[in-house]
Amino acid sequence: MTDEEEHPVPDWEEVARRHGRFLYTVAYRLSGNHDDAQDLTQEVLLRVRRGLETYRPGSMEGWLSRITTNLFLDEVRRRRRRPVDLLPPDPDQVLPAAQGADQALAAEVLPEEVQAALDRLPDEFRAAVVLCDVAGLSYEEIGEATGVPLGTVRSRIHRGRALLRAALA
Amino acid sequence: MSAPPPPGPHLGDRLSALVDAELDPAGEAAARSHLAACDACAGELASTARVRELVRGLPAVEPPSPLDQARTGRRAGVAGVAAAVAAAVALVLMAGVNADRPDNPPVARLVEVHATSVVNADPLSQLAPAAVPVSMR
Repeated sequence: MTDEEEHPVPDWEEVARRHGRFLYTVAYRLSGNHDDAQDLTQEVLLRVRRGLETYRPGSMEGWLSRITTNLFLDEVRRRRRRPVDLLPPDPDQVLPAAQGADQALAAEVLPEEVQAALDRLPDEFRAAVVLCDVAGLSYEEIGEATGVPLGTVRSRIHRGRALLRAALA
Repeated sequence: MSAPPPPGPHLGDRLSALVDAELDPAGEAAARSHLAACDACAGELASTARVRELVRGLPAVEPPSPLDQARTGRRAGVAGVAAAVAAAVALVLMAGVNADRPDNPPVARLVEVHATSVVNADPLSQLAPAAVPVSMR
């Protein structure tokens, strides 16, 4: 069996149809608005078209998430949408004063409120939380997608969740 | 007589690894041993799991329909071609949601045409291979 027969090249239109909803959801949760999500999804699909020749079977959603995150973070750095002086000097200062205090989250939390809290996270924390809890990637896959070690992935996810907790309490 | 201190330091981000099933068996055993004796970490575990479920429970997101976009207008500064591609992509994605519609192939061909024109028009689209992760450092 030739390599082509073992690994048929996926048709990119089929990829767009089958994974488009997942792709758009991740793009929207990362960027927080439809305009940016559409631009990001469009760029990802263009990249997918070019990359399909070299794609090898594995986790299609992991591969798509990696492309989406790379493009999202590239765009963030290019646009500088979060000027440095608007970031808290130390995000840990937003954590509850008493370590481990069980902040009772509001009983009814709307998706819009969760997305608004996500939008306020530093971009690297938001990417880690979205890739873990929206895209469903493992820590290892998130590390590969963002180019950081596992310890950093774990730290970003936990600090991102702590900031969400504080924002939604 | 007061209770003995919990074994080991507070768990910190190991709590997220625990709820995400990312600890190895030894790490998980040590974490559970600490949790049995530490109210602070037990409380933080509960709230970590809670906020994790909130994000995991978020619904899938659909792109707005092209009619909605035409009514509200896209933000200023978006190139016309990019807007056309984005609208076409939205149609493809909507077609993907309703995969049994017979008009998928013509829509996909529309994206193909526009995508080609965008790629040729933008030298910045000669991007690095998709498989290369971008370093955060």
